[in-house]
Amino acid sequence: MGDVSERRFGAPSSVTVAAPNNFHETEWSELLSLKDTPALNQITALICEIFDVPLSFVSVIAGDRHVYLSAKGLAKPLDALGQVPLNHSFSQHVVTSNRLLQVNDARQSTLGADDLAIGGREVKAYLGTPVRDSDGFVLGCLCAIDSKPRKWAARDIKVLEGFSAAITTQLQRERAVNALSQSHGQLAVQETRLKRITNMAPVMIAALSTDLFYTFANKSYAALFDETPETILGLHLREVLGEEAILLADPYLQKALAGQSTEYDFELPRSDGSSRIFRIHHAPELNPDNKTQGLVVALTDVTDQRLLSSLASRLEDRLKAAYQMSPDGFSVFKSQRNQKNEIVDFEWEYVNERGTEITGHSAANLIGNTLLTMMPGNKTQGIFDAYVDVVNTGLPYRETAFYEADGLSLWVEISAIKLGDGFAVSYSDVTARKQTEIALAENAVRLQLILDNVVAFVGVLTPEGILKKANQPALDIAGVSRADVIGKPFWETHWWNFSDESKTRLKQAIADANDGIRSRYDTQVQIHNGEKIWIDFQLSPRFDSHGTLVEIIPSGMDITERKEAEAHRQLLVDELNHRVKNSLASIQAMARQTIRTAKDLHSFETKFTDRLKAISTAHEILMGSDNAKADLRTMIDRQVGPYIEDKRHLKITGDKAMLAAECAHNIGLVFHELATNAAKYGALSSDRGCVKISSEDLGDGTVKIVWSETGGPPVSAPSATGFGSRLIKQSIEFSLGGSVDVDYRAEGVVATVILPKDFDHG
Amino acid sequence: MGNQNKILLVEDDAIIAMDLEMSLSDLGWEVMGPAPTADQAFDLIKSGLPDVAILDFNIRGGTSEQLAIALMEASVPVLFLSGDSSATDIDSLKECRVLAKPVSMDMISAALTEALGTLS
Repeated sequence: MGDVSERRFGAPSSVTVAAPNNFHETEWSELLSLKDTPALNQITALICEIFDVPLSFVSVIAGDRHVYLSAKGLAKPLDALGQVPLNHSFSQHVVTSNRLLQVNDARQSTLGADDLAIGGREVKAYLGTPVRDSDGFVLGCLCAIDSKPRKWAARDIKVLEGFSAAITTQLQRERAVNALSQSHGQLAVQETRLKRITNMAPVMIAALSTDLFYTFANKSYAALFDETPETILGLHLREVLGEEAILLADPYLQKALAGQSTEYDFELPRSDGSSRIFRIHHAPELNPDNKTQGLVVALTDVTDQRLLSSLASRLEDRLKAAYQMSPDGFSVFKSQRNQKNEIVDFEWEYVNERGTEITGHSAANLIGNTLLTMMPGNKTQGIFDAYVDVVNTGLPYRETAFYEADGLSLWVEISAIKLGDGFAVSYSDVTARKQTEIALAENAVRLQLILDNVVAFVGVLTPEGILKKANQPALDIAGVSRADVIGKPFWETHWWNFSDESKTRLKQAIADANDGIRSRYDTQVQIHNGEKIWIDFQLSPRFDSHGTLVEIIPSGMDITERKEAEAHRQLLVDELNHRVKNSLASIQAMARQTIRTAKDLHSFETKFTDRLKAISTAHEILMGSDNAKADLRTMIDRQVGPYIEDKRHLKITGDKAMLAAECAHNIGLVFHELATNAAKYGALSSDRGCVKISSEDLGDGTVKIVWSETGGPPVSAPSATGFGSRLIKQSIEFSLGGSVDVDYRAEGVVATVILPKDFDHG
Repeated sequence: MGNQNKILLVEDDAIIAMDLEMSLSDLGWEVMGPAPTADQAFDLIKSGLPDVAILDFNIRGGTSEQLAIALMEASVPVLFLSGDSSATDIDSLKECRVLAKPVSMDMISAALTEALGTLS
């Protein structure tokens, strides 16, 4: 046995072993619960003491092994369960024979020759007696073992058997205690659980005695009657339900009391005037003899369930979903008809919570009442008639209406469909949304007015450049209708499709707008009759808050006038440039010519300065006029005047004439040359001399001017043609294509000029 | 110079025309004109072509471009005088030198020498 016991030595104490075949599970655990109890350990210790033996133990047979419940004097510890293989023939013999075994000298015994040592102790003498349960069933044995032979006395046997009986008693006691505490525990657990379950359950449960007094009720049941589980106990059903209800319930109660379960719906009025529908179950409570000892009552509130299922059976699936999910008000109405079968009103059958909020009436007020009683405004606002149509025609009704009646003032969106002889309607308060819409629409109109009146052209393009909107003036000026242009690529519209260049430029600007770049440039657009106007054109991209291009806004101001002014200014600049350059060239030439004939630098300076002044004066006269033309009379005054000392020396007669720029410049110089010549050699060199200038408009665009001198010194024709006389001839004939004749008469110079007055080649 | 080369002068401003005529004569040119219009210039060259021509670009009744084309076709080099920045659009005239007014006689003289040299 050495190997086996060695292996079990020191095994963990928590090990449990399944009950051996010869024991019932419960019995086995009861036996194990006695192991090493103070009572047993005291017994084995007392035996060693009294018998003066080294070893005593109590063991039970478990299948093929002994299990020690208590042992005193083992030299080696046993394993946790204190079990050894069943090769202990003396104890086995006691158990199997169910009798006391007395061995005075083991060496002479015919039994268990191989059983000479137990737990390290030599076995020389053995005294063992069966241990039984209270029913007399052998469980194991109690023994005393001596290490030397001895003769066991009769007193020893009595003592050992007494201890065995004590163990039996102990075992019985242990069993009883165990059983009691176990059943107590179970009962407590079951009670608590039952209470908890019944209180948690949505069902209402009560138990009644056969004479209908409450013996039990859960919280929710008691609460239904404003009681608690404690206060309702002992009350009679009549006290709780009332006479009327008892009468209704009586048949079902009787049936249950007779031993049959029943079930029925019951409408229970509430203290607030509403009522709930309950499904009631009655079951007889039977005692073990199958006799009715009371009733069990279970209630479930099926009000919502009933209502929903009755609605569900009538509503379309879609409407059901709408009802369940929608935050809208929802009501169901039943038609009320007169004797002619005409609908006169609708009775409120159902209203959801949101519906009560919108109408401003509680469900209790609405349900059972009629539409026109509660909300007469439906008649005056025409909604009632629409509902009648829904019922009569089966066609749904949808409307967003402003409801101003019955103390309400709101925009309501109504959607009604026929439902049996009545209708279901959902309605929502859209006041806020509607007000925003109205504000937006007003803004849009205002904006359109502004755009139509202020800007020549404004529109809206898609990011691809398709025209979505255009203002009225833009359409009017082009003579097109909206249908002609809306939906078309902008560059293919009337305004642009006159030149590839303008189309290409526009397409580029649209592409730029897609890249977030705003374009602004002056361009021509086509208006009616193929005419063009200049506009200051802009193309602005508009992005939403996510940075996505939403639309492109083209706009343009008519700048035709500005463009014309610009062109005019450019023309003037070009003209001025031309004239200045020509003037300079002509002054340069004049300077060179003056040098040729000057006697010295001083006479050059005088002559040149005078000629420059003549040119400058002609220029001043032209610039001082409104139409860039020079008055002939003014020209004579300014050019000849400085050489006249007395007004009597100058006589001017004849037609008034206005001279164009080129003509004025040339005649100015001619008058200057004639005047200086007269002052030097002619009439103006003498006090008695006189110059007469006459003008005659010849009617063919020319004017004839005659300069005649009298009273001066005698005149002789110049020997060589000087610069002055050449200048006179060339200025009129060469430059202007007119004619000039200078007659050097003795009595005075007479110059006759035919002048094209409008000459101005620019 | 004194070689009596003939030069056609077209200029409608009397003073400039007079001055140029005298200055060119002083330099030894035989001046044809001056003519104030293209028509008058065409009349002048019927009797014989000049060796070179100085034409005011803007003249009475238009420009001197048609006259220049005729002269160029007859291998007469042309110098333009211009009072403004306007230039010819005609390709065959783009090789013609343009002198901006006011211009010195030295520049005119140099340009004439260059024009005759290019031709020969």
